[in-house]
Amino acid sequence: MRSAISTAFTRLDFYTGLVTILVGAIGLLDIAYGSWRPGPGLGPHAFPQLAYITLIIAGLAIWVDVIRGKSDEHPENLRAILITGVGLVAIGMGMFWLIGKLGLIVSVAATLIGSSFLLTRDPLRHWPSTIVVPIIATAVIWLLFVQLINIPLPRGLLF
Amino acid sequence: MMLEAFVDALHLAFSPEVILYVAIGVFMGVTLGAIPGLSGDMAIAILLPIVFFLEPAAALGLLTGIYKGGMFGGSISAISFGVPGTPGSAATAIDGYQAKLKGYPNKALNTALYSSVIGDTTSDFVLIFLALPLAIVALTFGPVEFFALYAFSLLLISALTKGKVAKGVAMAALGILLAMIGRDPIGGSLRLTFGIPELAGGLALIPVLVGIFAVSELIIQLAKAWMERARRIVDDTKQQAQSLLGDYDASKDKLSFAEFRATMRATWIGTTMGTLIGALPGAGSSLAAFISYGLAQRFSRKPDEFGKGSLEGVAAAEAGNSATSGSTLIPLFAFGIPGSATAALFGAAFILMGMTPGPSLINDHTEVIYALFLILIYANIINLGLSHFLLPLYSKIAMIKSRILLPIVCVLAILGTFAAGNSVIDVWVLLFAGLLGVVLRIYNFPLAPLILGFIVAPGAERALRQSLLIGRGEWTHLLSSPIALGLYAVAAIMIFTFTIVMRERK
Amino acid sequence: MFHITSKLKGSTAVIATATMVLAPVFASASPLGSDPIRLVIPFGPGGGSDITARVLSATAPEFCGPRIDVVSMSGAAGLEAVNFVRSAPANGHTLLVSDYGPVVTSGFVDEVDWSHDDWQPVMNFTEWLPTVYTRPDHDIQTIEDWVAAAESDPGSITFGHANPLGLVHLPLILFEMETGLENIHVPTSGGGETRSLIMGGHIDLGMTLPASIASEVASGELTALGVFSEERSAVLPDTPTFREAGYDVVLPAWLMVIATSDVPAETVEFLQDCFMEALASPTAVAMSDRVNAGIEPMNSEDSTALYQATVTSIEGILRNIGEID
Repeated sequence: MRSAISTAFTRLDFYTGLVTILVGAIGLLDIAYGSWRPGPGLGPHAFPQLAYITLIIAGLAIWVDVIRGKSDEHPENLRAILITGVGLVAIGMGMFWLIGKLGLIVSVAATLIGSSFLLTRDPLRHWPSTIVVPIIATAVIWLLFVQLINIPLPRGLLF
Repeated sequence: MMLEAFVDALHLAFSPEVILYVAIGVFMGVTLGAIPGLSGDMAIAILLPIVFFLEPAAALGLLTGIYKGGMFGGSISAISFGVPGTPGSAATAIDGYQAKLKGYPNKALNTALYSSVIGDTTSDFVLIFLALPLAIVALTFGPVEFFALYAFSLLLISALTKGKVAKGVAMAALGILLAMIGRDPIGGSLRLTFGIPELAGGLALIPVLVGIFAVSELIIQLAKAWMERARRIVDDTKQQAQSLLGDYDASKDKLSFAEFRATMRATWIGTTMGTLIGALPGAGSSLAAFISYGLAQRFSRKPDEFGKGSLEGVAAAEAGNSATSGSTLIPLFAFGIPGSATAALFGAAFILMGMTPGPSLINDHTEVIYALFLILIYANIINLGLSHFLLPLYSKIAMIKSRILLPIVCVLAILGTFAAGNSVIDVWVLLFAGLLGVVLRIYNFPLAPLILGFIVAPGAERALRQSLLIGRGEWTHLLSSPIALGLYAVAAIMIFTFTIVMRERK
Repeated sequence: MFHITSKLKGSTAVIATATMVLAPVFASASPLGSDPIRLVIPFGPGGGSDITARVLSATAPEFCGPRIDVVSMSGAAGLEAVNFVRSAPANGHTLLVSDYGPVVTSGFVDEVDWSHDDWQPVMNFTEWLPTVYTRPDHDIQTIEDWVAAAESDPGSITFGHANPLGLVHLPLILFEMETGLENIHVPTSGGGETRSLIMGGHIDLGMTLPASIASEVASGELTALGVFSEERSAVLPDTPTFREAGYDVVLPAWLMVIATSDVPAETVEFLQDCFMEALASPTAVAMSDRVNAGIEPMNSEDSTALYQATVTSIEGILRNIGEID
């Protein structure tokens, strides 16, 4: 038992538990000292308060699991996944912004061709899948969203 | 008189034109439903003006076809990419995607199709023959009863946690917090908006759900594709196949009758829960799917396989989701109360055709409503046949190399989410929910409880606070209804018996 | 039964009818371009404003020129629709169709970067008259019953209404301000929930708009107590107004087509003319009757007066209850 406690700090879930407890604690402090207006029937803070308390209890339960020796492994490829995540969000926003500037066809085609070039080794040799397929996909997307659904495209709304 | 109307209805419903519109509707529904973010509801909203131009039976046929197709279509992307196409298919993604990863997407897709059609058809018969009695039961559900139902459904979290109860509970709490963002539905004051005025309306279900489940999954798959490419550059000797399709053995991936029969219990659990929950105004198809999934696991002979590609899990979720489709119209037909977004759209369609939803509907427009009933039933058969034909095609698409397919699915998810609410904020929410989902996945937090918390919290909060307002602040008011007491008792018994069962297993 | 049908056959017709409503016949000297006109509604699809706007979108292209689309944007509690119209080019192609909630009330209570003067009404479709109703087997069946019950046991009557400070809540607040009565306000998720809570016996009274209960009131399944308007509602002819009962509480909700104030006056005038012409056409009148929309178009000038009157009265109520200072 003693050894489980001393090694607890090396375990991944010690930290996930810590973050869980911290989120709950900060939330409770916000409810105690933040600007929450009172409201009818328990008030608007009742449910968030319950959720914060649950978070703290769950965080403590994660720690109990750690002491018992139950913890998930450190994740693999953490950096690659996080970079991809941030990259996708950036590309997504970029595409949306471009749609307002250049129009849907150009932006979507550029995004699709660009990302298949990124993901394919020697993209020019694989031109049917890195250029032709994205162009067909763009045509289908244009038909669906512009001709059929007629979405109100943002015009420079984002920035 | 009745018989005469019925014969007229037969003529209306089975005219070649109407059958064609139903088929077009099913095709559009399945295809649009498969695109993350787009759902049958949205397609119905866009095509609503069609009622000005078509005969009522043809227009209703088209809308019905879209609705039913969309109900099932969502499960195609849920199973193929782990990306639920519609809110209702979020629970389907849990086991369906695992099944695909194990190499049998076709089995999972067919299970989803059969359970969807069984659930849907049963629900339609309930609508036709039991609408009034069920609607009267639904009216007895007030805030007190709804709170008991929501509390009961939160109990099923443990079924969604894959053995990580502490992390699952933390996720449910996080889901509740996300649902609290925006204007307080009772008092009207803003909360948890972090000073961003655009968050005043709260987070919409579709971007949160597609973001947490789908975008995070896409990011992880893209990361894999990216690393694969890096590795390939080093290992240049291996030539990759020119064909667009990866290696996949279709002959081993056929649903056998024995396997189908093994999912029947789960299908009927889903059908029953879906039909009942669908009839309650405001409860919704995604809640029905999650409750069905949780209960099916409780009553399954192989509960350990849930979360690991269980066909029963797919069947329960999909039957629960689809079985709301007929019964969600019950409050509309019985009392003119639209119980869901879909019912509201059908209500609008009736109004635009000059028919007032409510009890007088069936007397005033007997032939059209009888024809609609017939269409509701045979649209399921068209859905079954057409989807049978489309599934092999769609599962081939799903097998296209991920480096080509993933960017397209991402773009579709972004545009689809935008189109669902015409909202730029939804796109932001989608992308950030995707990042949140990635972080949570990396640290092994189960995502399904978060969605359950997010779906249940608004209703639970409203119901609790309404109950206390009506009961003048007395908490005992929550125990004033026999239905609520019954639900609490069932919950207590379930906790009790399953703790004992779990103990004995160990 | 009749249908306004131009019956189209074949699969492409589905798409064609959905998106390309009627061939445009260009009016002479139109200040509009050939792009479609977007009627943006700050609510979800399927509601009263959606249905009313669709009558216009189905009939007006013939008179105005370009195709007309109804776009539903309910994000950020309707503010997203308002901002979309605000940031669109001021050429009359992007218009807001809204009641006073997202424009007038939001302008007071939300943090927005526009003022009430940044909008100009193009025309008004109709005036919706907030109506108090209950189930027929309830003890309270008239305004007098309600007042008597509320006086004998203050704060005992439960009153359901959709979104707080919305158009089916403010009249109740105004009524309580006038009379000093107290009720328990029970906010619901919408008209559907209010109605099922009343029919299920969970709450006593509720507020809604006449069109949604007219047929139930006629068949005796619901009772309408009273209407917060100057005149009785056309679809509820037997329901008295609160003014008839001696309480001077009038707060109708309009549904207007609104443009930003930087749209040129001639464009607004052109739109007003062709919209009103379209709504006066036999097709539109038949359609309006069919969907119970009660469309009685009002021109830009009168609508503007109504708009400004509403701004003043809403400000008064909000100030009185302490929402703004």
